Amino acid sequence: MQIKKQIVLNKSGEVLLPIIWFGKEKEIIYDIYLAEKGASIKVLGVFFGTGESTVDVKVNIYHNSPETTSHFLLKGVLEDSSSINFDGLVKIIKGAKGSIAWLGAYLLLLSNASKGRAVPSLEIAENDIKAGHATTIGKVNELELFYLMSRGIPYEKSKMLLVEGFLSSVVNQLSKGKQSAVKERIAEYANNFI
Amino acid sequence: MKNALVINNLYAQTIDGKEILRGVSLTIKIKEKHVLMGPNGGGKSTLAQVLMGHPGYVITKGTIFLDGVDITRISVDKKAKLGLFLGFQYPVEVPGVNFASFLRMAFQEKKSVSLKIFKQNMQKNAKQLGLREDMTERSLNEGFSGGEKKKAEILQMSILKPRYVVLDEPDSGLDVDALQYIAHQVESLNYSFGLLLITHYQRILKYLKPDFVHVLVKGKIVQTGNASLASLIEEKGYNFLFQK
Repeated sequence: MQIKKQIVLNKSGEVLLPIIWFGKEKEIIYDIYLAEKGASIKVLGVFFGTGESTVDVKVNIYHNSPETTSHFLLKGVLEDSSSINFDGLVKIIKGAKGSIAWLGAYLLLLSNASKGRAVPSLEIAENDIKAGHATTIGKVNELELFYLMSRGIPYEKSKMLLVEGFLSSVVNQLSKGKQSAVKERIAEYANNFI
Repeated sequence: MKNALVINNLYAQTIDGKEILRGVSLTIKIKEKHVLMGPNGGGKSTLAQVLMGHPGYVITKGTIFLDGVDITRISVDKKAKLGLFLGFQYPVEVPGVNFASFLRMAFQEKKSVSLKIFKQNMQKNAKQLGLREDMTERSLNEGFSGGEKKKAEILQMSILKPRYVVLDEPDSGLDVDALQYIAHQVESLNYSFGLLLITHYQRILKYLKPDFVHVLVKGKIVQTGNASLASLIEEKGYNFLFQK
């Protein structure tokens, strides 16, 4: 299954775009055009892979007008032998003065067989802008796990607490409906072994 | 032994092979207050971490028994469930995990409780510790000040009511007021537990009267005495122990 979408923002004001993946799609591609002055998008990605699910994610954000804003935050949790391959591009054209772009992708690997790759790129032709990116790919923090378990919470539950904590900064920004849907899916998964 | 935490000839090293504990033996009975002192690098904090099962250390020899149960090599959560508690010197910040939900989850591993009653209890104890009310609604230890972190450890202890409590330098980095709050809360808990308090300073002992004071040097307890040993150390330093 594939998602391939083109989004063109022709007026000012912020649009919220959630991208939620629980292993179904193989490819997710978004081309986002910030075409008018003041157009703004917030992209919130929640990715949760189990089994052998794997996904290629390509997001291209084009700042084609002044004072456009993009805020991209992706958090992915990978269990079993699942994998994410993420490429994010932010392109700011000459003349898109006062634009702001942030691209962040953070992956948490829960197993040795899971894989994550995250490559952000910025192509900037205008000086008067603010832009940044950050990526991390890491495993569950052993000390955090030790701390939670030291209060009597078993390993699997502690791990799920850390997963929820890791995802919370993006999940909390989703609409209420989407939030509960995501939490339900994660709880469903956790119930398999807790 | 029932009603005691018994550490017998415990040896432990870091995962990269550096030996830190070299034969520690210590018995802490319920209702007893033990204080562990000693120079830097002597192994005080390591002992606390090893007792709880820190992933950075390996026990190479010796045993730990809690109420007659061998806990030397059981998992961290099982130790906690049997009644062992470590108040961390540096409580770990866990982003995105709500303090109150976390503590309730830990509590419910032993006993179920309604959210309302649990929160009432937690708020009451938090207040006694001089903690701000909103603190329990924040992420676990994240952005807490040094003093708040230490108090939050004691708050967890006061809710979980463990049988054996190891407090690793609960007094470091605290002002006198915070120190008094903590000592008072530990003293006023309305149930019986055994305490091992690790400290650098005598000042907390003004508020918390120990039954025993031990000195740990180079991974071994070299001296055991009563509260007067702590005063002697304060006055003369650790060196006098070796001059005899």
